[in-house]
Amino acid sequence: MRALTLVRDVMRPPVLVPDGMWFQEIVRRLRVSDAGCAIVVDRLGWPIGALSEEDLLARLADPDRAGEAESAARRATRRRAVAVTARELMSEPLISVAGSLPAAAAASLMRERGVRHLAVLDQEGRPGGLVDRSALLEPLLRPDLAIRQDVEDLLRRLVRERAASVTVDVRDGVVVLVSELQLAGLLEDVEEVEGVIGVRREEPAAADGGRCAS
Amino acid sequence: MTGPTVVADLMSSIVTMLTAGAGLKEAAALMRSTGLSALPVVDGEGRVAGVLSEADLLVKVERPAPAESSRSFSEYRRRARWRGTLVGDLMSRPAVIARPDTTAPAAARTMLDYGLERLPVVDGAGRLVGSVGRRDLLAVFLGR
Repeated sequence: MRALTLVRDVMRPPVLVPDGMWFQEIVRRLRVSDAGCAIVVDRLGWPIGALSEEDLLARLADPDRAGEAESAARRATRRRAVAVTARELMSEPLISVAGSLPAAAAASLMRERGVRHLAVLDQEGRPGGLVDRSALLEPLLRPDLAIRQDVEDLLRRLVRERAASVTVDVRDGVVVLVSELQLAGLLEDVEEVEGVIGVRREEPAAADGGRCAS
Repeated sequence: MTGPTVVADLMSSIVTMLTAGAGLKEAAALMRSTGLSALPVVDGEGRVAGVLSEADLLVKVERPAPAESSRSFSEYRRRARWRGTLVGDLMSRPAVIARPDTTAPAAARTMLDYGLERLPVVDGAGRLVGSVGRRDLLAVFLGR
């Protein structure tokens, strides 16, 4: 099987912001870089945190409605509303990954840590790249033909000679296995193939026109 | 400038949308090509039924967890959602929206409260008239 999509395949060059940069200039830099997040670096270029458009939005957002109890998160939002430099504004923790991490694992990490961006650091620990959620959608765009080849390879390894009795059809990422075999358990293995959006089994077309079973 | 800046002043009026019956690969391709982080899903009458975001689609990029590890409720739900293959299966609903006359600070508040990057803009008649993202709102700080 061909290699999985890795973080380094989809990352972009990082947008760097010095820790003393002012609010308005940060807004402008993110806009011209077409980025939703920047890595904040200290005077020596070492990363100290991440700053996203969300952190900047806090300066614009309506304050609390009167009478509502203020949560810790809301207080933090309000504190940032008056902060002015990158160091004061940043809040998204800098979570870094290796470029060799599969895109799927990066997506899990983002969800678990509640962030929208991951920094990729080079061997010295300096910012080498940035991945956002959009970049991690790339595996879903894999061509159907490539998915089909992977599924056929997988079947040959798992059910050997019986693989010949299974017809594999892939349309828009959805794999249909046409077979008289039950293929129990196998469907879950096929789900693991990169780019697969769904898997189902169908009976070969019979006199009654065939029916769907999975 | 007279009066507060409202969403209508900042939104993009190009409407890119999905239907609930569209495939997820098509949705991912549309998101990548437009650079939009969330797309409204409209029903047959043109009403906004939900929103499909990058976060919703990333469920598909993550490999499904093996069934035996699906003990917690959130894991179970995540796996159940993984089974879906259409936009309607994965979209978030009801849609969190903005009105053209919503003020910029109120729209920002809504985005922060719900953790959203982009809101569909719907007029009083229920028509989808555009969408507004974080960057659009931040333009208020740059002057014009």
